[in-house]
Amino acid sequence: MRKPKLFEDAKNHITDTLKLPKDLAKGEALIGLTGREEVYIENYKGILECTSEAVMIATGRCRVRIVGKNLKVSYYTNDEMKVEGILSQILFL
Amino acid sequence: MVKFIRLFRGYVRIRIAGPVPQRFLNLCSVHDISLWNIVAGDGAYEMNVSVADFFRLKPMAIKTKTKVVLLEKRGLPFHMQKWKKRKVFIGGFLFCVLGIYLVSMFLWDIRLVNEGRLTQEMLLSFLQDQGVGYGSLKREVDIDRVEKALRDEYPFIIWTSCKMEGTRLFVYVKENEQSVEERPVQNEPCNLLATVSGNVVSIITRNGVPKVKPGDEVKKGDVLVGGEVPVYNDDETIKEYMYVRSDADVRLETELKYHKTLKLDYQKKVYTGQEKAAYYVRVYKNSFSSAKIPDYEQYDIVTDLKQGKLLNDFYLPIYYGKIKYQEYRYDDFVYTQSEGEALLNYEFEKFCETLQQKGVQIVEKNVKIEKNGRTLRARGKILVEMSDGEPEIISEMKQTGEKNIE
Repeated sequence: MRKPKLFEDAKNHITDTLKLPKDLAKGEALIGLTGREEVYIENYKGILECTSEAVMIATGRCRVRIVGKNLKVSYYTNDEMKVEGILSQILFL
Repeated sequence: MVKFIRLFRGYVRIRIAGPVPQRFLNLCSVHDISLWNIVAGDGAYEMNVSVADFFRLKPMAIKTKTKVVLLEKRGLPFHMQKWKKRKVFIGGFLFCVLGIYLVSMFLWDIRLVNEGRLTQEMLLSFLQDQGVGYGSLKREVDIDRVEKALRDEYPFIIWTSCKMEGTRLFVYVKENEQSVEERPVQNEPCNLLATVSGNVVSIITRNGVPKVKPGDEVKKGDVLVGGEVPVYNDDETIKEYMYVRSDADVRLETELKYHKTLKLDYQKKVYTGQEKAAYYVRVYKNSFSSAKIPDYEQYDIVTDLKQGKLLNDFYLPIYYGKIKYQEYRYDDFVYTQSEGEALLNYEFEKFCETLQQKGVQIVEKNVKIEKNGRTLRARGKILVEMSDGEPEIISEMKQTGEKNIE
């Protein structure tokens, strides 16, 4: 169930005013890229799909789909994961 | 580093297959189970998981109806299982590692960098007195204390630095090239006495009352400069005495006697040509040789040893090399008269040089060499000019309430 728009606006306003990090305040995922071969992801909820062509991850606000070739999850812990391979697209769904 | 820790703790490669394998992965993540190298293929996933976490997978596998298959075991704990059959090898390896560790705790080499007046032998002997030597525990070597003690013991050393590298101790020293003769500062009033008999050539008095003048003849023990300075009244009677430390440059001309004899018959070491070589190993204080000590009556031992080391700086208490026993005997020889005279002349010149180095000026030499049976004798007198004056502390003072001045 989506949260009421008023509540969302108030939350955005407070976050902007207090200059809080958005990953903490809004539960946004942190995604870091190293060239086109590595991607680090933090603040996610779980893996939805994992094949050698695509890895889909559920985050707090959307789903992130990483598309590429020979993808593999180098490590997967509660806090952080790293996907290696030849990346071609990162989609926010 | 992470890889090394994982190998040390041990991990397994597993394959999971089930209706929703992603759910299994997410549950692992929630339960703080680390997974790595996750590769998908053929509707299944392969991944690595630590041994400890592997045993925690069962509830999640049941919950998600996932089948977990063990593919491979990696890491030290699994090798330990294999090595159980090779106890001697493992024991030997561990013993070797332990041995190297123990040996590395001690000092096995001491080097003096820039050797000068302080030689390697002097340094080793000094360090031995300080409790630092071959085989000393490295952690018990107090480098600061050694540096300070070196500077205190040898005044000509103006800077020291010790550095421990591996099992070696490097001692760097810088010596004062101009030797400074330190005169002990004394304030007691004293006279200056003649140490030899002779004639006064010159006298320059800085402190005290001169008792002699140029041209005077003095005998050994005579006072050259007195430390007792009288203070007169207006009527030229002595009011009191002041006692000072006498200081003067007094040059005396004196005769030194020189006497040296040389026997024309002498013995000299001659090598017979008989020698025996062997390989030699010394481990700390125990030595082993590949051959027995030959039964020569008299022999020299010549060794050419190298110290064993691992890498560059890890010196071990092991020395190896060759040892050679060379037989010799003493044969009788006779100097010819000219050889003997040359030798005596050479020794006389050396004696004169030593005198000159001490600041003695040679005025005249009158030394003759004469033969007496089987001996040669150099005998004569040398007329020299030298500085003199030995302080003698004044113990009895004439008046009470005297003043001492510098």
